[in-house]
Amino acid sequence: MPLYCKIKKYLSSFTLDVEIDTSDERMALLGASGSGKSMTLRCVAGIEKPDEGQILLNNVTLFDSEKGINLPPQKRNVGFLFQDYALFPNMTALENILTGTRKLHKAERDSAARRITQAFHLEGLEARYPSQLSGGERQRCALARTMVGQPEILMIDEPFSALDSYLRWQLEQELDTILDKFGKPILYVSHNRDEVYRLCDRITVMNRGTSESSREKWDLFRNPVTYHAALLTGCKNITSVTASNNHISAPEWGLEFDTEETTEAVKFMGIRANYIIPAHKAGKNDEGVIFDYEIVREIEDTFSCILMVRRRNTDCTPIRWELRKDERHAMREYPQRLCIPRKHILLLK
Amino acid sequence: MDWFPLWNSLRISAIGTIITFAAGIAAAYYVMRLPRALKGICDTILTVPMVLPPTVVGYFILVTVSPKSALGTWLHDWFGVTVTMRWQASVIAVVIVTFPLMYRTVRGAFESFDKNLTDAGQTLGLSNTYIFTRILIPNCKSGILAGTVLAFARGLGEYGATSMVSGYIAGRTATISTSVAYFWQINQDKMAFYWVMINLAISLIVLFALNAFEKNRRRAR
Repeated sequence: MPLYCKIKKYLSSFTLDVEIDTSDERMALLGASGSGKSMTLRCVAGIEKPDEGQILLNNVTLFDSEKGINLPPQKRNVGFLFQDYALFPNMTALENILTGTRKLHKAERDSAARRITQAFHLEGLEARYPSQLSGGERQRCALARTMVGQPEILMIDEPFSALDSYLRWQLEQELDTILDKFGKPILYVSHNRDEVYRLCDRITVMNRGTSESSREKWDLFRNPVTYHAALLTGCKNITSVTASNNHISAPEWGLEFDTEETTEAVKFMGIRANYIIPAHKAGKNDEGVIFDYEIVREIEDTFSCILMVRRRNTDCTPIRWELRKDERHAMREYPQRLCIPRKHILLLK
Repeated sequence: MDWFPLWNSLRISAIGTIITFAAGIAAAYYVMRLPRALKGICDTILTVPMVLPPTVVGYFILVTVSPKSALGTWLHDWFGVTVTMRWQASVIAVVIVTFPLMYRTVRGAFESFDKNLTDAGQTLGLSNTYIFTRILIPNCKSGILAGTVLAFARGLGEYGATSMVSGYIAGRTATISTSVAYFWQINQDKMAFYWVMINLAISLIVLFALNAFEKNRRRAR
């Protein structure tokens, strides 16, 4: 249990109420912007002070409201990679890296900085200022500066949010490689579900300051359990349902079906836009909700077609259905019947 | 022509600016970190001299340190020092009048400074002194320079408070601006004109310098 953090902080718009328990893996905090992810990191780093709770890092108490412990950020040995890297503009790359060596013994500082400059492929750039570095070099420089002090955990705050998609992909791959070498627990904050899925092992979903318990990433995406988790993992179709006696009805979509699962706590259901299939493609053994549809709107995307469909001759809320372009063409030869496979229906709290 | 007023003005303004420089930066740094309510109050008090007529500032200085006041009496009895009607009194006036200019400009620079940089410094284990002197100050350099130049220029042109606390004593407290007024009053229009031109020349040089800093600052961004 490298990091244990259970804190509350009363903010003007909501109350931050988080419980995080990391293992040695890469943990992600996934949440919409303004859900308190960054604030959580800042509390762990000691830049912000929580109102209540406890933060422990490798069994050292960093913060404890009851015991009155609040270590200053300088004493926390927490690495923090900021959103825009926060390199000091008045210092060269090497000087920036040297600022990260202050926790080391004086005699080791220079050699540590030189070693990490090599390891991060920054040779030849030592004398450049941050404004003279490319995006990738800046990221490596910031990571080198953070890691040269050998922090016990590395926290990363939305590193790619300001970048275009091409550069973002490159930097993400580079970060992934570096993090593999780092071998320390990582707490990664993002609102991008794909990025989080590619980079991390476990995910904690955050919504308006409240954290849900952490889950294996594949488990979370397969069965999000809660409304917000479904939304954050990219489920495009979610509707409220009434459930009773193993029978579920979704009035906004005009659909009903039976299920064997317990339905007591179910308040919503969801279906991912690319898991909907035309009825003729459903196998005989595939259970599913089948209905005739009409197309409300058709949107052509880069590599797919998005159809907004609803139950035929009703005013129901349209459901978003995504299919490949060639599939869209083939659709014209078949009856307008859809199947929402039972195994892909998400029952949500 | 007696050049004393030029020398005296430069001396008063330079010493005043040095004090204002340190006090303004310190005040900006501490006020910035205060809780919001307290910040508003401090901000108002520290900025008041900017909007008060200089004669009111002069009045307050006289009330505090003139030989008739408690502090003035104490200074006179124990140290044999009289502050008023000497050039040193002008320094006090200049500091008070220029302080808000420095304070406001520097606080603006500090507030537009990316707070992530100080946060990053803290998580890297840098001391607050290091962060202040090696990160905050260097990155706010142009704002601080602009404030200093403004303070120096304002100090050079100080008249109202200066004439109240130091008066005009030729060769002892005369400054450029008090000389202009003095020569005009005794009908030496030509002398007044010379000092006006000197004042104008200095002001122009200072403003050119200020513009140069501004241009640098914009280029740096």
